[in-house]
Amino acid sequence: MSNRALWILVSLLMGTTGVLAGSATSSSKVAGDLRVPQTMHAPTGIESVSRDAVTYSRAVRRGESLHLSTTEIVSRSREYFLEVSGEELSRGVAIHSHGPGALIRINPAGAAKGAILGLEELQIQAPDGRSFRSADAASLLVSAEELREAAPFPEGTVAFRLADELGPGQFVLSRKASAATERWVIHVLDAGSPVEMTLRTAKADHFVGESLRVEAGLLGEQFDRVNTTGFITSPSGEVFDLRFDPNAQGGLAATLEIPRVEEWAPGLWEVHAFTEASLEDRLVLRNLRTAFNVVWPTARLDGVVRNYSNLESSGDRVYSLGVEVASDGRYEIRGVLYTRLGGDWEPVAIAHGADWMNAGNGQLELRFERRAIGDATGPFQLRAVELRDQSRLSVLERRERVPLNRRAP
Amino acid sequence: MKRGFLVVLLGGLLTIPLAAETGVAFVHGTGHQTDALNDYWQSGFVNSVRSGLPDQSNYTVINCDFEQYMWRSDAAGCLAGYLYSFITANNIDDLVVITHSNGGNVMRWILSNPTWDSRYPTIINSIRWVNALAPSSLGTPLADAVTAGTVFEQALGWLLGYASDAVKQQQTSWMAYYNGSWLLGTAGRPSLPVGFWNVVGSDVETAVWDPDSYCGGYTLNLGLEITQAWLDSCSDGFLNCSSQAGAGSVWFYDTSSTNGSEPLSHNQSRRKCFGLDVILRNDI
Repeated sequence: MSNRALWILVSLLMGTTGVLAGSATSSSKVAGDLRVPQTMHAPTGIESVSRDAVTYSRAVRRGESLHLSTTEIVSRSREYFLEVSGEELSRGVAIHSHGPGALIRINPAGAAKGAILGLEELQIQAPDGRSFRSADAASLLVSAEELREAAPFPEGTVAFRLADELGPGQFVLSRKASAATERWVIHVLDAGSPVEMTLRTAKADHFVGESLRVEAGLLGEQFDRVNTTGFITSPSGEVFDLRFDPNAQGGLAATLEIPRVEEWAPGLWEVHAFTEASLEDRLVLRNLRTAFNVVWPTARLDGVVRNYSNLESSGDRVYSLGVEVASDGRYEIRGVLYTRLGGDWEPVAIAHGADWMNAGNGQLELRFERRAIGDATGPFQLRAVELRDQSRLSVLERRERVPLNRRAP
Repeated sequence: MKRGFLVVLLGGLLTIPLAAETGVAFVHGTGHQTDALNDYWQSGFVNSVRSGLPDQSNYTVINCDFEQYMWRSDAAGCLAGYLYSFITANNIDDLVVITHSNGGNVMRWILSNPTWDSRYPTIINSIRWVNALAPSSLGTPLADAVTAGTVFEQALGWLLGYASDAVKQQQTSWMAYYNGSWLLGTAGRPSLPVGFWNVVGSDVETAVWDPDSYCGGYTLNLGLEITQAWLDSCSDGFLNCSSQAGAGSVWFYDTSSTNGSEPLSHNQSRRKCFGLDVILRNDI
């Protein structure tokens, strides 16, 4: 079996079935503990976070999933886009579809924002050489006004679907009246094609300085040549190039050490990937983005848990967990209280506790209220503990088990 | 099943005082609303639903800026302000929240992060359940489509791009991340603290000769029939059915309960169409 065929086979085994019009799916798996190796000072996060100490607890529902998990996000695409100038559009732009009935969307970009494109101005040359006005080549025509009513597409976006009977292949799209200074973004959704690009990151959260590994796949057909390029973007707009190389499994992968940026900004980082594949004289293009988060390791659990329950006349179970904090911010602790019922440990209640913490050593409280615990009388275990940085929207640590130290206050 | 859930939940968590006050809150979707009563929901819909309340004045229609990321103070913070004030001013401890589209995500933010804000626990403990109309729980490929290509404008252009933060957040890979880390209620994740019941819209029907196509606005519905081209075969024109059913529990798919078994487009699921208002009214 050739390396290319093996790569396709591996990709098929990794992928899921189903026809999707360019959407992402995710799957969760138990990942075990997540620990901050070393804390670091971080830029200011969300400035409007609360400074109040807040606790909350509730009873666990029967059958509720309580496993700590990391999210593996696998994104898929049957579409691509390209940016062309008015001059290029007037000369004719090649549109490659692998399946029939591709959906084409055009919107003005850059200096051309606000430019009006009438569907009647477009000429389409089919793969067999015949030329049509757009209305004669399309099974669906959508004006800018109609699209604007339905979704927040850019102003001036128009769309049409190529008629199925024209088949797949290379079409040429042109507009005679285009000015050289215009710029247009052409999106092609190749919904009738089985060829799907996938992007997978090993995990959704990466600490600053960790290595990001991205796997790119192309499912649905065997190609002679596959080339993928890409880059990542930060929430504040920085761009860092990625280089995709063949991996040991015959696919393509890119690795990059997550750069440290100057400012924290809300939102997620993204991988942007562009694939060009060919089989004999047929060309398939696919673009895809997938999101991930970069975590500043601003705090970590110090391993000490103090049990204050014996001081509580309310019947609440109260635990204080030590936290080493490197950056001022609002931090949250979550955990699940287990008790022994018969011979098994069963979850009883969930608690959250959050507060503002300045750099240094501090504590966060988990209070399991009596009404949440119900009739449980112990013994108790603390499991599925998470430490979060609410200021910077990050999950810092996950511990499946947290020993309850016998230290008395 | 919905009533059984209520009994179990209340028995486990709450002691309802004899003088419990029932209220209903309407939470809009993506957009910056200043008059959601008339612009987003229309008063006929709201008035019909609230007529199911013991005290019909116990309702609130929120107006917030849901163009922002869901955790922002002008999004979830604004929603919390409305709900907290409504609850405390009217002694509401049996609140039914009705959300539409991205409003479901903002509500799930509050439910999933009870210690984000000191008002959140009071709000959560006062909610009976959430009726989520066409929630964008798993995002939508349309949000991906809207934001695709903007990166060509690089740096600042990316920030100034065509899509609001709310639209960026509703991209499918973004929602996959947030559902896995900050939001509860999706498959394999811990449950939400209260019931989150989805009404799923499964199709868009527009025909000039069909009066049903005009409910909610013919032009709006026509646009949604077109955007179905970017979605799965089961969709309301903006969201796949899988996204609408992605968090919490499905209450019903539109055609199983609406008058004439009519589907609810993404626009019709916030309007007085095909008896939706009556269903919600009777649920209170």
